[in-house]
Amino acid sequence: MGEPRRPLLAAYMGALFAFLYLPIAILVVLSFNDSKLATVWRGFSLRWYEELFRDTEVLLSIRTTLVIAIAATLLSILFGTLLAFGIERHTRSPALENGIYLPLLIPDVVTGIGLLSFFATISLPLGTTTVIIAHSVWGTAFAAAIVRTRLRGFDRSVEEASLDLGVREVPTFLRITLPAISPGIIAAALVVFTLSIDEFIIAYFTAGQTVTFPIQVYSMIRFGVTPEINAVATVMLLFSMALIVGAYLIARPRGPRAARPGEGPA
Amino acid sequence: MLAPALVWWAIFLALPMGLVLATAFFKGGAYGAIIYEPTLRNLERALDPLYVGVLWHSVWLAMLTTAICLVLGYPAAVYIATRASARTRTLLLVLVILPFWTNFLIRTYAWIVLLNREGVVNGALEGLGIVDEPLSLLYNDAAVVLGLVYGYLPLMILPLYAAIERINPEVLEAATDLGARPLRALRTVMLPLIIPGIVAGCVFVFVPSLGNIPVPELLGGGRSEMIGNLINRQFLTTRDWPFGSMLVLALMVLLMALLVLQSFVLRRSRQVGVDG
Amino acid sequence: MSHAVIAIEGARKRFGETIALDGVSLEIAEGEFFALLGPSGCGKTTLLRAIGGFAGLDQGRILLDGADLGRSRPYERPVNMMFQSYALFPHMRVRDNVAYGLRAERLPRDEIDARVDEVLGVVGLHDLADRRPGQLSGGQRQRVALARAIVKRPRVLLLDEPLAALDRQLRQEMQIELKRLQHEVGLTFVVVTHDQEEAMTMADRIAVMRSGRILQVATPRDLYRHPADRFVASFIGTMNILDGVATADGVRLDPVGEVRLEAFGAAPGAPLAVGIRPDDVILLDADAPPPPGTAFAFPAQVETTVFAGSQIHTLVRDTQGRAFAATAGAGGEQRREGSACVVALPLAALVALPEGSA
Repeated sequence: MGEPRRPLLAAYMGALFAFLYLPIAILVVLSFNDSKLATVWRGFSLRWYEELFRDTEVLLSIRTTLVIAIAATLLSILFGTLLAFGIERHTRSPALENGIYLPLLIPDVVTGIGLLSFFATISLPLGTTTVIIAHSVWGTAFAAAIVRTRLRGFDRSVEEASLDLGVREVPTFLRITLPAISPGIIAAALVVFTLSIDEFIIAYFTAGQTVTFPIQVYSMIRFGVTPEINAVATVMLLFSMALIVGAYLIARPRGPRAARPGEGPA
Repeated sequence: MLAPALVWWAIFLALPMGLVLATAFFKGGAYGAIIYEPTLRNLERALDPLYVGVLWHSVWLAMLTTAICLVLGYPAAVYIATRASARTRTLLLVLVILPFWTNFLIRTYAWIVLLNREGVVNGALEGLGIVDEPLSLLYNDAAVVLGLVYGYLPLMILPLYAAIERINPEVLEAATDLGARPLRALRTVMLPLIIPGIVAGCVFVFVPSLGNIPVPELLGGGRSEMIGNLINRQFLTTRDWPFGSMLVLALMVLLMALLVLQSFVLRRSRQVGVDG
Repeated sequence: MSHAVIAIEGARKRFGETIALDGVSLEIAEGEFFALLGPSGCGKTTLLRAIGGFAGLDQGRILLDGADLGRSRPYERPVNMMFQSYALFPHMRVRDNVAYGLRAERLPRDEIDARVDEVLGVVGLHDLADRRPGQLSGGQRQRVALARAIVKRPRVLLLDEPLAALDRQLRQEMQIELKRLQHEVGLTFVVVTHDQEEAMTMADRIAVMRSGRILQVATPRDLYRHPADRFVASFIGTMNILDGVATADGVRLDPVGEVRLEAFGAAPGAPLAVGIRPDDVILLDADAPPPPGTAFAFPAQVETTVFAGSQIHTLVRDTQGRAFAATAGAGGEQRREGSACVVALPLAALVALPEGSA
């Protein structure tokens, strides 16, 4: 059987993609506009990019954000992978299984305020470190969830075969288990990294005087709409998309999908 | 193996939450000081119609956002789930998610560029002679809801898609075959089977919408304030942390009520077995 | 035969490059148990789905009781389907699954209850009426799917590989059971299957399909005895096939000889195969004379022999390296492997097998 032809639905899908992509596309186009006004096209220009790359504040904020994202990702992967193993292999507690998603259900503003109060109480100065800690709180949950999915699809008899063939637990883990789940770990790392780069609310409360890239963008938007933001947006867009396409290519499911009944002639 | 993460969360998640809970019942002093004397003053203040109004307004906007995402997302999820080729399905899904992975602030900012008085939409309308004066498209509830829908729509489509894709297409055909017209088949078969997906999508959209700060700030411009802005102000401007903590507590109570509701709905629909 | 419930006229359908139906015409009579049989991809399911209203035709039409079904939707057709996956509604009890179609018709509640109870009795599911599909075994689900479709009293019941999901033993039981049920409810059944044994057991008539075409429509006995072409012959049961050449009034088999045989219009000199069923092949001792009525006889050697309870299967190979399967009753003689013998093919059992159109 062929898929149902639904011209109305297909048209709707087109409109939906237009809704999702047109606003972004307009930013990209305007980033090359020589004019300061969004409504006037004065010709192609790279001047906003030149301004962007001379803007030391922006560059510094990018550096800060990258440092935070890398550190938060490493922490999250470490904690998250251990957690995934612990849950998949050593417990059968439904409360714990669902509990790992809890940090993702708490609104960012609550997490941010909670940590702000906490850091203030223990007198830990706000800055890069506190944002790293804050991001690793939900990063761990993401990493655990993603690695766990991968771990579930992993056939344990492969490990047992390795043990049976005379390899001890630790080398078996390093040579068999880790390579098998590494796509999950890499995908988790890319997801946490991307989310950390984009995260605004929690960083806003826990960064103190430190300016991360989203905070920089926020103040640029608040204090004057200049086309330099369009250039920033375009660069960010390319960067995020490259990361996500990378994550998808690494983590995509391999092997044929099970055929669904009703497909193909008899 | 569980210990590192759980200890980490105990310190940096549970402890801060407890702290907020406790702070909500202390007095706020001058210059942001916290006076460690138990009081219900913050609770009384939070129940002032002014603040209850903001809270209700936030819930209303978040519900509206969720409902619009559901209505917009459902046909898209159906379309994607009914594509025959797995490659097409994956491609469409990636296209749906991609905008979500680009910076949320920048996507919000795009709407400022589109909707402000000198923006693209007004420019086009004036250029076409449809309006003489630029319209005030920004800084109202509609703009806030638009921004939230734009930001979180992918979070609705994904779980809906996952739920629809799991349904054996023959089950839907069977409903049609047995004489159910499309609307009846939707109501009696499709919807009951995708309740878990609907619930998940609604939670995914409602939670970040309710606690949002930048969208009401940038697109609402102070004229459509939500609870997040109020909390933000208590902590970073007014520096009345105990009252701010009480507002956070109110937000959490609201969300817990939502999660209880969610598990209730799910339990009712969970008696559904898996059809072979 | 009574009048045709379903008449298919020149049905064509393609999916992109694939031709699913390549000009199919067919009539199915009232009360018949009709099987569409063929390998996967032959178009049988497409044809079934077209009758159910799930797939439109590119060309041709389908008549129900003489009226063109046109592009009417599945819910408008007095035709019901039993799906391959059973497609039970997982969130409904057995009773509600069965009542679903009657509720869609907005029948009065007591009539619905009465009919549901009646049908649950027919398929023996009274005790399970309040279970959900997830709590049923495969065979029970199959009965629910059947009950849900027949309770609508359709003009035609379509069954898409109804037994494919069951294990072997249950499948054989259900073949008989389906046949019994069909008699009991008196409906016209159209079943799609790739299992020739299933089709032979259940159906009154079988249409053998391949590559979107119907090769032959016949009763199981006729299909077995008089297959229309080489494909049908090999698809239905086991058939020894010998490549020969058509003559003016028969077929020549080099180097054994020539016989008169109705050759279905094959031009003299054209290749023409002849077939013979294993149970018609006669094995003789090496020096024994062939019995009267033998068309061909030639020496061969016994390669393997298997005693299978009620039957003895023997595989022999002639001097040209051709293998023959021969089946004898258990009372027959089991030949020693490696021994010499003579293969005799009775004229009456030979079938000319044109290459066929497909």
